[in-house]
Amino acid sequence: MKKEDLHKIAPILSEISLNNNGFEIPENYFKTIEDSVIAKLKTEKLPKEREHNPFKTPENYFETIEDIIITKLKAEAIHGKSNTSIPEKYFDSIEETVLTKIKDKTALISLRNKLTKIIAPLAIAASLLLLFMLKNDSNKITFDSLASTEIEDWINNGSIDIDASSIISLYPEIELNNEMLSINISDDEILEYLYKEDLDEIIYEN
Amino acid sequence: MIDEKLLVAQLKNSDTQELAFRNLMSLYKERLYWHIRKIVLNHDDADDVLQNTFIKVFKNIHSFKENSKLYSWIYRIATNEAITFINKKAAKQHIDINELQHKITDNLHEDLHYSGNEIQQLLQKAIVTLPQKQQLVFNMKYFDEMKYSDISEILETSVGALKASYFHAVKKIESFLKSH
Repeated sequence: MKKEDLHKIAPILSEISLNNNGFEIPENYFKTIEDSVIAKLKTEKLPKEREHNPFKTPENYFETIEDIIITKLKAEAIHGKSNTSIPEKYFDSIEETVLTKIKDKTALISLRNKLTKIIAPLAIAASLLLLFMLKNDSNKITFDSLASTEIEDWINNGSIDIDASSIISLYPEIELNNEMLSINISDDEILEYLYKEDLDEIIYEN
Repeated sequence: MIDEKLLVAQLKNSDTQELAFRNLMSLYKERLYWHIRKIVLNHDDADDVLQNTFIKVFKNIHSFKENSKLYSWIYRIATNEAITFINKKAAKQHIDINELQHKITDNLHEDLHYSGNEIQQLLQKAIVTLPQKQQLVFNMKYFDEMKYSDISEILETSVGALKASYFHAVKKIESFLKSH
């Protein structure tokens, strides 16, 4: 249909601009479309890894697996029934029972530790002070007036009976070998040790 | 004038295929884009369909029997891809293709890639009132100014039928524009 014919049958339509039908495109669209298509084609050519599964199963595995699982379940059910009967709701209450016992024990230990920490040092201090008061004529005796060497001498001479385990309980963070506390070494054993070992070496090492 | 036979031979040869394909895209991308765009209306959809069209051409070049022009064959693929695309889009929304096209043209003014004036938008609304094939004929003749012989090869319809179809399309659109 020629333009003049179009104008005769459709004058409004013929006046509408053909140059710009209103549709637009992003900038540089036609410059990039070719690369997009090539990239898409190359992506499609890449091997699809998921189509090749390298893992295999034994022959007829999927045909037999259901029977194997059912058999195992039945075996577990039978085994479960042969167990010695337990009280009703035993497993419901066991956790609570254990936790309660742990808390009680913790309370006991905690209380014992607290008492030991408070009483032991007081007992030691009181012993020391009493002894000095009896020994010295001076009316005023305080711990400050006592030199630490004097206190040590008193302890080493056996004037004060301090239980090692009481001291250990004061310092729980220090770990000791329990064997050291319980072993009683005789004089003969000591002498035998001294004769056997090279004392010079021990002395120089230390 | 493009030597279509040479281009087809190059496209079918794996040694020259990529270069020939880039050449093909360079030659037809704009024409194909606007043809597709008039069917799907939206730029992003047109971009998808255009890429799919070229990929299909590349993959099926060996089945091109050369009993029609390469351009007509590519145009036919583009037309089918665009119509299939818009049909799928309508199906996803559980509506028919006419309803979808009306929906799109009613909201053209909101499209970032549309800057047509009122009369141009009204023209798009008028076009979607036509049957699908008639829309194709109108767009290819009115906007693309293609020869009836070329349209005939693409749509596999006789020239006479195309002329009649176009005449009726023009009358309907004029009537729509007058009444709105």
